[in-house]
Amino acid sequence: MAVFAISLLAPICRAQVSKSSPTPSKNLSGRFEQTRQITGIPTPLKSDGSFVLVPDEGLIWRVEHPFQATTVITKEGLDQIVNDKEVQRIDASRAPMVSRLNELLNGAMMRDWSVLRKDFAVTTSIDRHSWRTTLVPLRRDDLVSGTFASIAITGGATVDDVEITHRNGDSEHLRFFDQRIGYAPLQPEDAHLLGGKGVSQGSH
Amino acid sequence: MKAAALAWLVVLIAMGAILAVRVYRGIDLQTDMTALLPVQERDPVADRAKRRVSALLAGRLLVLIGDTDRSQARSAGTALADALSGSGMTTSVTYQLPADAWREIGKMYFPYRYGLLAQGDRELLLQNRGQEIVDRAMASIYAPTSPIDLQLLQHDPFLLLPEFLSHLPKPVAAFTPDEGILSLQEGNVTWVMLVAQLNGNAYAGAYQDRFISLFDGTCRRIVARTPNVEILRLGAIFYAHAGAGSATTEAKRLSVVSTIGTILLILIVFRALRPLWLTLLAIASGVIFAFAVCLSLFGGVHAVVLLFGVGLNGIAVDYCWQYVTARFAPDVLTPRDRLRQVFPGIALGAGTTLIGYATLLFAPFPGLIQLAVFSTVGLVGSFLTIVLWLPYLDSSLPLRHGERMLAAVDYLWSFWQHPRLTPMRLGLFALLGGAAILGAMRLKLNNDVRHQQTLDAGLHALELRVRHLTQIPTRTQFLFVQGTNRDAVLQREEVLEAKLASAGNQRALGGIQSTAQFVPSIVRQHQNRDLVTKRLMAPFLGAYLKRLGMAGGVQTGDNATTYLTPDAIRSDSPLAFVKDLMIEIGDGEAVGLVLLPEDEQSDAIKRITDSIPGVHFVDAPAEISQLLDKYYRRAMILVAISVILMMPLVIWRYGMLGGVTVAVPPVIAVIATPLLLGAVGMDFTFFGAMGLVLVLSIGFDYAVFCREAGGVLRTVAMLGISLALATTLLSFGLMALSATFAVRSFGATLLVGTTLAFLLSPIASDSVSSRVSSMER
Repeated sequence: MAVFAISLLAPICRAQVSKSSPTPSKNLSGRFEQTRQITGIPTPLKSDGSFVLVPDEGLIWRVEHPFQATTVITKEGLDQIVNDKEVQRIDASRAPMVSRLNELLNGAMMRDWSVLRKDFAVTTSIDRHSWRTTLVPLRRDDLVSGTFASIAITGGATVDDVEITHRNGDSEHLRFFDQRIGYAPLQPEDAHLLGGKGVSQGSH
Repeated sequence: MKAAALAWLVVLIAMGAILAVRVYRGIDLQTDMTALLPVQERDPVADRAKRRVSALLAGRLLVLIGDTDRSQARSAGTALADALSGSGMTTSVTYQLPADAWREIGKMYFPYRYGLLAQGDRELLLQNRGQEIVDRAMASIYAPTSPIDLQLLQHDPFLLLPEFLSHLPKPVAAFTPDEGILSLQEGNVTWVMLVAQLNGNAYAGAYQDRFISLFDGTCRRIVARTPNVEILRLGAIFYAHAGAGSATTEAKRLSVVSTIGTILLILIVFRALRPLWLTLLAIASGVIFAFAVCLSLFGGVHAVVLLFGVGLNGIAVDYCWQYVTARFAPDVLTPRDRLRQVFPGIALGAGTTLIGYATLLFAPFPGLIQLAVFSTVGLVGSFLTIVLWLPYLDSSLPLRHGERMLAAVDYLWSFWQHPRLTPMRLGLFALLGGAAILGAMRLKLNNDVRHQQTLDAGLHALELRVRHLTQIPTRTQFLFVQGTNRDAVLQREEVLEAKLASAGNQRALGGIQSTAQFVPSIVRQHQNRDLVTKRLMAPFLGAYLKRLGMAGGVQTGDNATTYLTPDAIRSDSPLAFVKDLMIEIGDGEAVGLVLLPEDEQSDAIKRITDSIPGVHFVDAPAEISQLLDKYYRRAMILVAISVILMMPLVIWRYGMLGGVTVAVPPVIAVIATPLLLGAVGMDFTFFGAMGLVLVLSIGFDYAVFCREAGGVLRTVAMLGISLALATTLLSFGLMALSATFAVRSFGATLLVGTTLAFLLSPIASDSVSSRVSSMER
């Protein structure tokens, strides 16, 4: 569910980008560390890697440790790539979950907070150097937002830290660092991934 | 005679009473075209299944509501859904699914998960590539959107069920659920979808009217509230209503013209209306007689039989006019004398007609046999009314105002008799011959109902838009998969799917919809469980759990003792439509229905399905076309046979040469009519062939009347023939103007055929035939 957190980076990224440059080819990239605590599994699942976020286009999430896997989320759907092979592709048109996620992502990217307010109670506290926003789902039976107990996002100039608590007691902690706003065109590989065409077809 | 007339009155009253009781109880007017097929060609299982399917599809309704404002589209949809489900005219209305509907699907499948592999996963395991499934599970666990918890990892460690669920075919390809409502974003317009199933017969007039007024009324209220909203609808009931509407308007228009024309004609000719009542009485008594007898014999009457039967019975006007116009004769005659005078002609005419109609009995087609009974019985009834009642009901006063009319119709006699008109007669034959040759080259047989349908243009445009938006199949073509039980059907569907896939028919596969896609056969589920246990769990699970740091408690194999069957799908589930795809006939028979995508794929799919036993490709319009084609061939052969069977009767009366002479005009008319229609570019059809049956009988009537009439009476006879032609053209010839292809084809055949039979009829007279033969010498 870190995608929520990522999507919250977008307005900030966009705000900074739009102030400095009108060119459309801007992106936010950086590194992440994820710690996932699943109730019943004694050791937390830790992973780290890099991400690239392009407003209006999508997100590339590259896990490097402990296992190499790339996830691409665009408005067309969700792709998972392992060893250069597409192991899963979920068309947004097929899975209501993914299309909802994408809608929320887009809403956030367009700085349309009303999209998030439809599903969450949003409270924000700001002090001199940082801010903290807490999201609590409005409807517990909702397929997407209803699985969360709460989402807490803290940051300064960018989002630095996201704490997600699930209703079943599981939790995720995400830390973002080395964040950069890029103006240069994407790496060809990244552009290809976001092109919506996926990668070389796997077994399917 | 009086006693006979009274006896006939009693019989007719009894028949009328029988009919009234049957009508009161509700007549079973069959409309199913396959009921016209010969019994041995019908497959009772397929028949029942097809009827179920066609009733199901006819009762289905799909509505798309679009608005630039998402919430307005949605609330308009809610208003319509509420109105429909509150109307008591639907069995189901599917619009907003409950929030947990999708969770319910997951719950339904969960206990059987190891038997339900996505096609791709099954292939990976068959090819021993389980590692790829393991990689995918790992990637999913570390993916940013992963909704994975311990429960799921313990019960489905490799996430096979989510994969299966995400590969389920979508009921409507282009639409996706948006807060429980199937929706589509097209530009800035949000479309929402509503599906309903009607609980009545979409083709029944009263139900149709009630439903359409409810539907249209609701739509008007919605549009009044939200003017931007656009409502697209698709359903047989809308076509049926529009079709009935336009057919009714057309029938009204044609019958107004026909009625006014006939009344004017009778007023002009007789200066009285009584002859009109007499002809109506003759025809009505025949129809009542025939209808009552058919209902008693067959238990029901097919709508097509009723339609053509009443038409064939219309020939009774020929005999009526012969009798009634005899009042124009110069001698003052009593009604009884007049009857005696015309009796040989009308008896012989009715005799040949009865032979012609009865020939239809030789067809092994139930429809034609019913039609033969209906038309012969009806003709007998009308004939009895004419000879037994008309002398009592008719005025006995002679008519003296007919001089100019008689002089006018006498021109036709002169045309055939005047020595100086020989070149014109030759010219007529040359013209006819030339047109016939041209027609023979251009004539096309066309019994394809797809070309004959005249769909309402506005509705058709709507349908194209709906199909464009939804990409739903057309549903006139589908596959039937037969088996001894449901699982046998599911297994065949799986074979079918595999064959389609191996034929590289990805597009076809993507568009088909079958039960097996949602509920694998028990055999398949068993295999899948085996594959999962032996090729995934055994080799990979230990290492996988270790990497995740899980201690255990994971279900390594399948311990389910039962299998998923279509019964598990609840009727309020979003998958409820799957239940309609499986039809249990009983008696160890089940039929699965496989819906097909776009039409252009059908040839390829048909080739594949023909090779699988128990799988039948059904193309409803093509089947009706083939049926009409068979009926057409049979009807044409029967027309030829009935000419041969009529000959002994006319030869008995007129001798060999005379008999052949009488047959000349009707036979020329029957042969030339399709050719002349072909010459003007009209295709010939089964309905035209039915017209020829009537043209032949009418042609024989005219010829016989001409032959029988001698001396001064032949002009009176010709007046009767002219009146018969005029009324036939007014009632049937006008049908040539119809927008309905079948009606137009029937009407045009009668228009050309009876006119030709009329023009040629004097040839039958011995005085003319001797001249014609001498002219040819």
